[in-house]
Amino acid sequence: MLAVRHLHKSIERQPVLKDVSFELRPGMVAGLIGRNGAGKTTLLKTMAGVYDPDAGDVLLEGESVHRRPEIKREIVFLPDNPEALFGYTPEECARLYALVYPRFDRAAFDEMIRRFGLPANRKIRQLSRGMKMLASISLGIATRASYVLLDEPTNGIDPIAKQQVLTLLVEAVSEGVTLLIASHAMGDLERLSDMILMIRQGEVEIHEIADPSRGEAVKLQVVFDGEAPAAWLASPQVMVLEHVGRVYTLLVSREEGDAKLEELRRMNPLVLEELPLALEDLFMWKHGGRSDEDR
Amino acid sequence: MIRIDEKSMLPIYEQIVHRIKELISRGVLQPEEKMPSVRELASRLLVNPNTVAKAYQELERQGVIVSVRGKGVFVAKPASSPGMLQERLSRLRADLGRLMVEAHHLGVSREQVTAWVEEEIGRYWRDGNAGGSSPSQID
Amino acid sequence: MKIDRALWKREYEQAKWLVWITPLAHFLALGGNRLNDWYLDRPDRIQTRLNGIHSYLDAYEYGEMELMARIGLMIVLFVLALVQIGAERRNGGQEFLFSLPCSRTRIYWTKWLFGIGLLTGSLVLNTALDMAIVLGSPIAEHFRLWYHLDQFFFAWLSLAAVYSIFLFVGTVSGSLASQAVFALLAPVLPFLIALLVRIAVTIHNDSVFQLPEADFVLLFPVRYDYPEILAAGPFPWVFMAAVFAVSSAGGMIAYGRTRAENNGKLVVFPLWERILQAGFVCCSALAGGTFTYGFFNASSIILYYVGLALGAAVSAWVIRRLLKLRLKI
Repeated sequence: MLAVRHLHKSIERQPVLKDVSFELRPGMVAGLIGRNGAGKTTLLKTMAGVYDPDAGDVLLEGESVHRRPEIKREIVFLPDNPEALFGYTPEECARLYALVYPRFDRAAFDEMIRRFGLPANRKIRQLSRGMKMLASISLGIATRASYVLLDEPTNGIDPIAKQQVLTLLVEAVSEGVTLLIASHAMGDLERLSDMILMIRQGEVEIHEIADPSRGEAVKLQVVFDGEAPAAWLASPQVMVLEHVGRVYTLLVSREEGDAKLEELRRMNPLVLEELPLALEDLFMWKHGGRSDEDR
Repeated sequence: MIRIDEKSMLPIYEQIVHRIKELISRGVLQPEEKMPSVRELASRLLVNPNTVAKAYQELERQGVIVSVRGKGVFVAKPASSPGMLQERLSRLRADLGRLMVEAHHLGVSREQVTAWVEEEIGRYWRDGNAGGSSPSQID
Repeated sequence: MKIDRALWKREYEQAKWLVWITPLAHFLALGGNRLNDWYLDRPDRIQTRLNGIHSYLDAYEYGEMELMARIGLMIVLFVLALVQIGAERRNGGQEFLFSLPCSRTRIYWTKWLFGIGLLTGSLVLNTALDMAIVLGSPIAEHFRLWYHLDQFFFAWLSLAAVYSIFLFVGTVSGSLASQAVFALLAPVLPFLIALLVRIAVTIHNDSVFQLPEADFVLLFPVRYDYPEILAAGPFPWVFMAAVFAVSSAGGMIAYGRTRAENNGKLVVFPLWERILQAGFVCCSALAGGTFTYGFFNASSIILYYVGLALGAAVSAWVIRRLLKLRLKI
């Protein structure tokens, strides 16, 4: 188990992570979401030992990765851009990784780069963005480390490369690898994850994907009979996602019970239909649809 | 062919359960046929393998599929009666009731509802036999 | 350990051009130069040169070739230190290394040993070549083993000390550019400060106040020619050894505590930011005072203080802006 315990981290006196705690159980997939600059990368880098925490710790099977860096053989961090490997060919990368990670699976790596048509003897720098990411993730998975931390693995790559990346990740999970994926691709995370970590204003909220309704809010499509009830729409438990003609798409909070839903039902709207609540809706709901946010 | 519908109200594992039952009903998946492994299906659908595993557990619990240790997962023989028959039947009846309420609420006419039901019956109870003509494979 | 091999491999990969250039440049400055003088030149000119030699010091040209070689090596080690620390803050190398399953101390140790190894290797090789060239040349009768050994140990200790300073400065500064500037400043800083303080005291006392300025310049490899090395006594050796030890240990500690999130800033540690701020303002104030005092030729102590205040104010503003910068290089 990889446990993050009461992690605090400030950058230039700005608190980025405030008392962040969660656990990654073996074999699970956790999605990490948050606005740009919310601290996703900071969290991953602090877990990987690139940054030192101001307080708190990251424990692998009870041992601190910061105090005993050798145990990081079981943790691989894959940044959003494998800059550090630009000067190497995939072949040279494999030889380097084999020296660092004792269980590095050369055969599996060769199989992966063959499958994706990665040129083994061209510098990573010269590969397309999608191929760079595939090479990086192939290396990370071939280490056979138990925990792989990924920063925006599908960002800015074409749909085919994205499919290939996701295939690699799903296969790794089948092998029992634990993934922590920071991403803005909500749809992908929704299908891949067991757990969603939403980072907001330095704090992390945990949502188990297994609970489909998520209990906290419902998404509704509503057409009101006559005038739209401005007061009801303006109440803090209600958020208008979309308003086209007379059709409203709404999020209604259930955190304080179903009173608001009851009020709506009593209005006898012409149309009242529940829609599936996507992760993206939850994200919008939690961030109040605001476009400004500090990190 | 199993596709995940992201607009569906059903969670992904229930969609998988439902689609596999449908494929079996239509004869696309034959009794005793080997099913894709959890790993294969997860890779094809690009969903969490844990989700597929959960769907397979549910299908096995209902007696739709059987897993043979070391050999894989197979479609159950038709002779073996569906698992948890009573529970599933009563849930089916309730689901149908809910559908009718919704249809009525939306103002669908009696004729339209009947036509829809006939259409679905034609799909699965063709000449009184189970069997499908769709060429699609599980994919 | 296997991971040490990986670390070594990485250092070699990113600096292999230096590994080949260093002994070559070293040879051109030293053995090659000597080869040119005593083997390849026109025979009449070699004879003229030979006629002018009265002692072994003449034969060795007072260590001028060794001095040139030390300057060359110092430049190489400066570039190496920039590649090893400053450039890695920019190109993702440091974050990659920090995510590996090994301690930062070990990473630093590899870098340090790589540079010291390159220095030692080039010195051993070129000292041996140079001795062979001297022994086979017309000046063979002036061959002195201890001359070569003196030069070897002096070059080794002084360059190892300066290289350790370059690395140490790199662990504190947050970018390639600031490492380059600080690394060039650090060896002369004590001398500059001493000079400014001496001027301030002189102005106030109307008498010349003498500090032993020369001994504060850390650019030993450039400063001493051979007779000076002999004359200087044990002080430079002890001082260099102390600088070597302190900056090696300091670099090791600072690298272990590097705040990678501050990469791109002038300095990565808040404490060092304060020190830089205070030091910069003090030096600029003293320099400002010295400048106005000398520029207007009025020799008025008030002008000195005007310059002092101006220097302090301007530099305080400048350093505040600089510390907020995030450099791309």
